[in-house]
Amino acid sequence: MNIQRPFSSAFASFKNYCESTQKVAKSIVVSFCAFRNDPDFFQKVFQVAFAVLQLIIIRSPGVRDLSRLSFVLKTANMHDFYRFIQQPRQWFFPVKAETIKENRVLEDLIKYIQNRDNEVEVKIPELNPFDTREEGAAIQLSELDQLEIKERGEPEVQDKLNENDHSDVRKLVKKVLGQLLSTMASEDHAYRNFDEFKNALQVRLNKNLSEDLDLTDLQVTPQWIRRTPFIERIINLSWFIVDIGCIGLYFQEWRLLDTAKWAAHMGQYSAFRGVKDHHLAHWVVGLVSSTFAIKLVEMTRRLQDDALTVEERRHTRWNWVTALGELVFFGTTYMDMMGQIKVNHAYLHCFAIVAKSLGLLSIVTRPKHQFFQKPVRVA
Amino acid sequence: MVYITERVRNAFDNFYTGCTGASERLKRGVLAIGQEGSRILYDIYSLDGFEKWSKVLIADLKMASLIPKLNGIFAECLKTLEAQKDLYYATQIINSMRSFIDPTGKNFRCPGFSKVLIAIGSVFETGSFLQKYKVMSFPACSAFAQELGSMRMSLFGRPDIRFDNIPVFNSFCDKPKDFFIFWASFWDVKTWVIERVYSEEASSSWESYFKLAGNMGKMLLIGGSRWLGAGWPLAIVDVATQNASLIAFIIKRHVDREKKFYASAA
Repeated sequence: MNIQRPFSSAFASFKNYCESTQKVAKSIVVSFCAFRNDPDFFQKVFQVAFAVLQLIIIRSPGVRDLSRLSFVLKTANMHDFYRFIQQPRQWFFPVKAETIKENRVLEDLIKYIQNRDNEVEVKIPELNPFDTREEGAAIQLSELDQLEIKERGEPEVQDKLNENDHSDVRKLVKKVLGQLLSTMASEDHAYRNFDEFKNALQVRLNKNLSEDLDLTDLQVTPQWIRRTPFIERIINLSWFIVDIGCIGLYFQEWRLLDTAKWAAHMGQYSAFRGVKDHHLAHWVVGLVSSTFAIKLVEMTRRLQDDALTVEERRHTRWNWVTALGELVFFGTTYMDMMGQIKVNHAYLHCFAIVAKSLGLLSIVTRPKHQFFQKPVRVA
Repeated sequence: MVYITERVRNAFDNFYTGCTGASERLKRGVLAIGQEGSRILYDIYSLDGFEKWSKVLIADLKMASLIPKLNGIFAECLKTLEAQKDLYYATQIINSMRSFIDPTGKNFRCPGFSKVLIAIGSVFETGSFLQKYKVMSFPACSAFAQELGSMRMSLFGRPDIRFDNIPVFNSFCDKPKDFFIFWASFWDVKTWVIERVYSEEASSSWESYFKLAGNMGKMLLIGGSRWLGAGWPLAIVDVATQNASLIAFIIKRHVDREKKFYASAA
């Protein structure tokens, strides 16, 4: 009896140990696989590996055998070249979860349902009175709306809000809209237009209501769309130009495009005389540096001026840090290329390691997008 | 006079209606092509998609290089694509390990015989990548492969055949991954045939046909490489195989995405 007890406890602790090890192993494999399949993460890992390898080669010239490996690692940069295949979907399917202002849609929807209520009574199934989480969320939303409305100065919606705070309709619609947006974000769904989005919302709402609701007459207003700030549009445009420049650079490296010949040809004309002295690589690196500089300024402005949710603030901070890292790396590389400063290449690789590692960390710590959060301005 | 004016007006009306209808049809056509095309491109945007895409480019450019005027033009591009393919293959082991865990990430599972074979092959591929790019060396494995390759045996009444002269099995000494890929493809083809013969609910989707073509192509490329030689027959089979695999991949991604999309709407 006395012998059995220590054995059984040892067996139980061994079993626990095995189970926890198994759990950790599974989660490691699952997250490794997710990161491996993320093209950005994959690219950054090999960029860091490339820079580390270059440092090793500089410090210990005896390992030059690894130059073939460094060529292979460098090919991960091709993902910049492949980025263009993502673009067309954004033109044809512009309605994504990130582009929708959920609070505005919610207000318009509630307004629409209430106007409709005057004609037909919509039956809302009874909600669980003990579900305090939902109640809390509704109160939070009301505060959020009031804050937003104060900023925007929309008295009409303010009146509506006061009338309908904590109503069952609000809770139900918010829940359904939140579910739809979460699914859109997690499954990477996008709609051709807002009519399709309204249809999807209608189907989901009708599942929760005991009577059919028709959203055909619900007016889609421009306020539903989260406008991209002007600076961000400039940044996106410069990334688009950089992508095209990368295509040119790759074609140049593959000896399929002779940019020097084209530059010399254009330089014959007096208006384009300066083109002869320029290199495509300089232009691309210069543009990348200035884009990161603009991004850094924009992120600083957002952190200072904008009312941001907790998640947005965290994301913006990471963007600020990565933009700074990349600016230091690309800015130094550009000035070195242009002969304005002379930098030891070992330092450039060190800057690359820091910048890309920060990028990796930002991907790893990227939070899952939460809807209906409360934006707060820094005092 | 009135009659002529009426006819001219009718002609203008018809012309206007025709133009409007044509522009409407054109707009619809551009939208349909653009939407489907953009979805296809988006479905490729993943590591597995890049892998298949680079294999397709390699096969297509290799075939184009057989045209005397284009010979050597794509050499640099092919070098980059081959290196990129090697990088994807070397990290494939992570995906293979993932296939032993269920989608919820909580329980282990057996992913099926062909996936197990692919997983074993991807372990060898990582090793071969490290050896090829001189990161690590595996002298014992190389010595074993050499020994095995030079082993002589009698087969089908033919005496003194070297092991590395036996089709399919020779790949075990040279590229072990190919050996496992051959048997994984063979298993998939066998499963497809058995499903057709014994099951009435067998999938007859385009994806299954393209996947079959891809699997048969892989078997032919690995098992019949000597017979195909290095010229046009090999290039054509390679192009057909890689393109079929890419199309099957795109269809699968597209169908999966649509399923999730409609499941979320329903």
